[in-house]
Amino acid sequence: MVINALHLEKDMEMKKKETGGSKFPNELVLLIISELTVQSLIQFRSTSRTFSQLVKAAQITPSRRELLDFYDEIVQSDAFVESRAVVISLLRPFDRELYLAIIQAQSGEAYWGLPEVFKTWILEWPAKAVTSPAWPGLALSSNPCPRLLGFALSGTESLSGRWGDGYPCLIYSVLYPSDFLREDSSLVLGLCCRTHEVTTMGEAGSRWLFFGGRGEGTELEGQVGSFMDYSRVSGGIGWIEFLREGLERDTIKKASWQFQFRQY
Amino acid sequence: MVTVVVSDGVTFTMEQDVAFQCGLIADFAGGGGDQEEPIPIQAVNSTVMRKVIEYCEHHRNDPPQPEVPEGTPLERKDRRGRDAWDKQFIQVEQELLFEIILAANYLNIKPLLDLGCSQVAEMMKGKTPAEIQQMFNIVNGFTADEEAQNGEGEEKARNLNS
Repeated sequence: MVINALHLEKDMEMKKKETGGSKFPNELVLLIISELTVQSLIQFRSTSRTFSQLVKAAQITPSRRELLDFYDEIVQSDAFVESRAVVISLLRPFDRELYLAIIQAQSGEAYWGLPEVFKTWILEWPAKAVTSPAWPGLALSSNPCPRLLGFALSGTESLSGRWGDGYPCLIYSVLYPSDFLREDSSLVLGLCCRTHEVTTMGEAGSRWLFFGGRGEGTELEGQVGSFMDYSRVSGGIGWIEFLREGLERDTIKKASWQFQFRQY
Repeated sequence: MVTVVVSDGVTFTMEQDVAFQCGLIADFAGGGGDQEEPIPIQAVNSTVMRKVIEYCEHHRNDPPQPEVPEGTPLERKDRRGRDAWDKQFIQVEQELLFEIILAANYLNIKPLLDLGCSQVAEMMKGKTPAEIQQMFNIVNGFTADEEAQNGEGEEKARNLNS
């Protein structure tokens, strides 16, 4: 009997090891993983080898998977490591849900909703790993580190008419999170607007713009970055690529526009 | 009426529409007619069973959940039927929460299982890896070799992930 009991105990110990020490069978851990935010996923997989493997195998939303892969990609890069000190010194806390709620309220009547990966980024991305000036929690002054911004002030394009590549675009809506205007900042950030355009392929798509500029009256002047809701349009850059550009010095020019925008 | 007996010997009698939300009980008693013998549920104790029945009673009139084919990549899970009552209901100590999840899995109550798992995810928000290890009883998640290998990356992740 005693021997049996010992065996049983050993058995239990083996089982414990198999499930990373937790009493949960892996199928339940997978279910929990499918509910985790990007931040929690990063923490969770660093707790045990089993959990790390389960996070790789788990069925999580495409947005979370993309962001997690992107996180793994950028933490390796020198540009990322070098820019951390500046980024972290500029970080301010902000209400993520409120920010998204404001933007969504303004896009309520618009034809297309916000891209899912953008929403997930706002809600779940670790702030200290931010690579884009579009992050609402960055207290940027008028002269931020160009590498951090990812855009340079050069060239002049009128937004109301045509893009640099000559395709006509129509601005559908301007999303303006006014509650996030900071007195200590001369930049309006996280302003997002949608355009509707027709590409050479004859496809209609939505282009999302991020403005960083002075917000005085109804005119805005400054920098803009754009990304496409690429699930609908082929050829455009997606949100992840947009974020990546924030890090890569060589591609800064591609995304640099100066513009004037009048709100009707 | 359906009667079950749980691991600590307590019996529970409930109406069929309450009991049959547990897939296991529905399968067991599916033949119809009143059970004479109580159905043994050895994997669940009476404390947890009481919570489970409370949940099933609240949701007895819910329309059946639409089947989602396995492997469908969902952006946001369907939260239909989850209300303030559910949120209140699942606000329990971690120990009990984990037992409810195990019971929901064993008894095959999908919505309760989902509710429990999303509550665990909720509890994990803002927790450090050390706190998560404690939560899941992980003593040493990585061997010394792996720790050395991952050391740098893990350290980075820990510092940045907030």
